[in-house]
Amino acid sequence: MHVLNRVLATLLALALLLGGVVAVVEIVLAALDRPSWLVPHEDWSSWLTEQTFSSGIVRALLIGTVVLGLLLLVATLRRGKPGALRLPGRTDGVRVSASRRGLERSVATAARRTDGVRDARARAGRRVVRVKTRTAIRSPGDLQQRVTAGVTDRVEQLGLSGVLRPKVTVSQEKAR
Amino acid sequence: MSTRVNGINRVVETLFALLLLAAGGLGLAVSFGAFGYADTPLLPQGMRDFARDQGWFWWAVAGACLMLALLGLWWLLAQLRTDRVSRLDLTRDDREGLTTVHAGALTDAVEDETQSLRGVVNASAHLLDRGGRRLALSVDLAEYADIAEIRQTLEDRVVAHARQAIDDPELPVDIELRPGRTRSASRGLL
Repeated sequence: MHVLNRVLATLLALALLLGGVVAVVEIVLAALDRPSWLVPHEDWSSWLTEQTFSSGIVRALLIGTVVLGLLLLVATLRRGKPGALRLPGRTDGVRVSASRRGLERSVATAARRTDGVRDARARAGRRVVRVKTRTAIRSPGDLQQRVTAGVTDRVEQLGLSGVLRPKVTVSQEKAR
Repeated sequence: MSTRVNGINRVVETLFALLLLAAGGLGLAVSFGAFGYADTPLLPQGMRDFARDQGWFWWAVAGACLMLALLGLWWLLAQLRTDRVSRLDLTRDDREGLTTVHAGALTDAVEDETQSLRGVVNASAHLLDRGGRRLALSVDLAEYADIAEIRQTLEDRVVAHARQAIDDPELPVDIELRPGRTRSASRGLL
């Protein structure tokens, strides 16, 4: 989420900077009785004088403003998935974490190593790692348990056994 | 990235969002007749006359816009800031002289020692200033890596050496392990 917030912040900062500069330049030009530079402000103020709050286009713009505000608020306050998961501490002053993407790669590989698994994908949240596997076997039997065991081993190796709970689903590939 | 800048971004973006919501919501309320001004122009003629007649008005607006532009510039430049520290001041007593260490000397040593571990594909270390200096170490691990063993070695040996090198036994350290990197072999042995 930090990256999205950085992008939004950069865009807003650019808008503030450019908007502020353009406004100052236009005001100075108008004070010197020179024609406008980028903003035809005479046309704009005439248009604003003609429009009332109840006109359709004004309502549409106001609804757009509310929607934009809501989207910005959600994008800013949403926690999102963690970039890394903290591992239980061992040494004073040392914080160890595992990157979420690395963890997903590692868990998916562990699942793929199970006999009968054609493909596997993992998605980790704060408490659960969901592993979706596909198999070509017609009767998978205990495949889900075997995949779960492999994934659990991997999570334990990472030191996340008390933090992350694996959830494995097995789906069968359609016969051709 | 700077954590302080992240906090500032979050606060300013929230304020922007609330401002947009308030302006849009209030405008819609007026538009639907909540205050009885639904049919008044967005820009009343009286306001245009006032702006034209008062000589100071547009200069005040220009001053406010200039402040906003400067705020935007400061905010834009803040995005480029990081918490990274380039020098370490190890001076104990100014009268005995100054001792500074290039942070790269420490982080290079930490990276080299980490990359010599079997199963480590790559390592990247940085010294940060986050309410006091702290070392951040990112370690890319091969699929075959023994994560528990590498973690133990990092905490017991690499961190201990770094702390010893700058004579700071309490130096806080953040280690991020990135398992599952595809490169098949590392350079070193445990």
